[in-house]
Amino acid sequence: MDAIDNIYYTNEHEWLKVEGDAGTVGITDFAQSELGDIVYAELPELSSEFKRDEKFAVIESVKAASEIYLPVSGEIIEINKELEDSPEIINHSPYDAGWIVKIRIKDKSELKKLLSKEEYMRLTSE
Amino acid sequence: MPVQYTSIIAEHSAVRNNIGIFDVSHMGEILIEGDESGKFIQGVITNDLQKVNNYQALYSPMCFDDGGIVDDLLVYKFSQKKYIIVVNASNIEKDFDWFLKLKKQQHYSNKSLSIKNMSDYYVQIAVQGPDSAQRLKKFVDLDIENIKFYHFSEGKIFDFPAIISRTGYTGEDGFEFYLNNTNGRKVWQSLIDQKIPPCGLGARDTLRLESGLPLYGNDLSATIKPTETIVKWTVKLYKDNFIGKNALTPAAERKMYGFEMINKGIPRHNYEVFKAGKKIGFVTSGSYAPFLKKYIGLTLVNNLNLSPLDFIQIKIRDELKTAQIVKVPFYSKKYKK
Repeated sequence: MDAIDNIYYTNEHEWLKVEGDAGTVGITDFAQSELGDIVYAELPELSSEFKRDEKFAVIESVKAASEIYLPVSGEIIEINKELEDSPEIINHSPYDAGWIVKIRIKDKSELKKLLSKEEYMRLTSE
Repeated sequence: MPVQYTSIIAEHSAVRNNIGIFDVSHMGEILIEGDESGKFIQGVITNDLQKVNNYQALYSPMCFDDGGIVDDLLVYKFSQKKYIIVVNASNIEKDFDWFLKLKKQQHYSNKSLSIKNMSDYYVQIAVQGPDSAQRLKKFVDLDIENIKFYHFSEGKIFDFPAIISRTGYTGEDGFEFYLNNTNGRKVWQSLIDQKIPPCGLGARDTLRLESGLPLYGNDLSATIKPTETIVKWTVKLYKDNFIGKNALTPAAERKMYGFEMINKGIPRHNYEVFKAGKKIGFVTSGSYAPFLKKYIGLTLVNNLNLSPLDFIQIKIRDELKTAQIVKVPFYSKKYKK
């Protein structure tokens, strides 16, 4: 299980890749592995806004339903439509094809509250 | 048994398409012997033991006086004087104590009725899937193909003595092997060495639900009568007497139905079920069905007659999602008879 550089992480196993004022959000390899076969993703509406750590999506695996929290406050500008018919993409490619939403970041100072790759790896190695 | 060895969906598919094995050694086995063993068992189960011959198995719930279910089990009849009852892992102590209590209450002598908990002695391995007979043939010393559905034989697998029954909990053709502990471990390993995929609890649950089989704790329980469930056919009210008969005689107040989600979402145990804005019941079991690629479930509904194609709503995390009543089993494969 690998974490990729230049990406922020959260305690709840989300990742945020920042690109200017926008960001892409997904769940980590550790999270998809814990969840098992993902069979459904409940995604937010476009243009909806969420605060940092607010639940914006639910991912259901055969085993359980898992709430996904937005790493920083933002507005949803794109959702991954592939997940509607093929939610299992998240299992196979959690950092790439399995991205969940793209957001417009409201307040870049919130990035300070996120974990670095190293801090996240320490979290998941316990 | 872990929830999964690789992935629930992969393991489910292996069993539906080819073959998979389950380490079900946690299940319990209770040996009942004696001249009155048949009479005793007939008096505690709802189904009719007289319908089975030697080397045949019978599925039945076992009830309390109020009609609630103690457990659901398989009775293996070896002879008029010897039976092995296979019970759910979580109910072993409860079932064993229940049998002992009834033996005392009904004044059976030790000579005429002996009840032994053999759960630590036996290990059960289930081999399930359309390729089961074909793959197992060369490792079993008898003609496994000719064991009829719900019948069993005593033979050998990998040269170890075993009870071999053509039963299972997956809706596919398959066999269940009962061996002693030590031999069971060896047989499991030998099967793994043959590259037969091990399957976990997750797939065991999705397989049984998809084929319309109930799970004790979800669809059957002390507060559910078998006459309210998808196994109401196992209650034989024509029998002289059995525990719970009086409570089960009046028509059932609740009914169990199968349903399929129309709006996507996973129905789960205890989710509330509505119709026309009114709560009508709850989900007893629900899951994604990997073979059908649908979201399915069973619901216990209060005093309402529903038919396939009727719509209901399932409350999934604060949102009412539409589902449709369907016939159970959701999936069926021709069993070998």
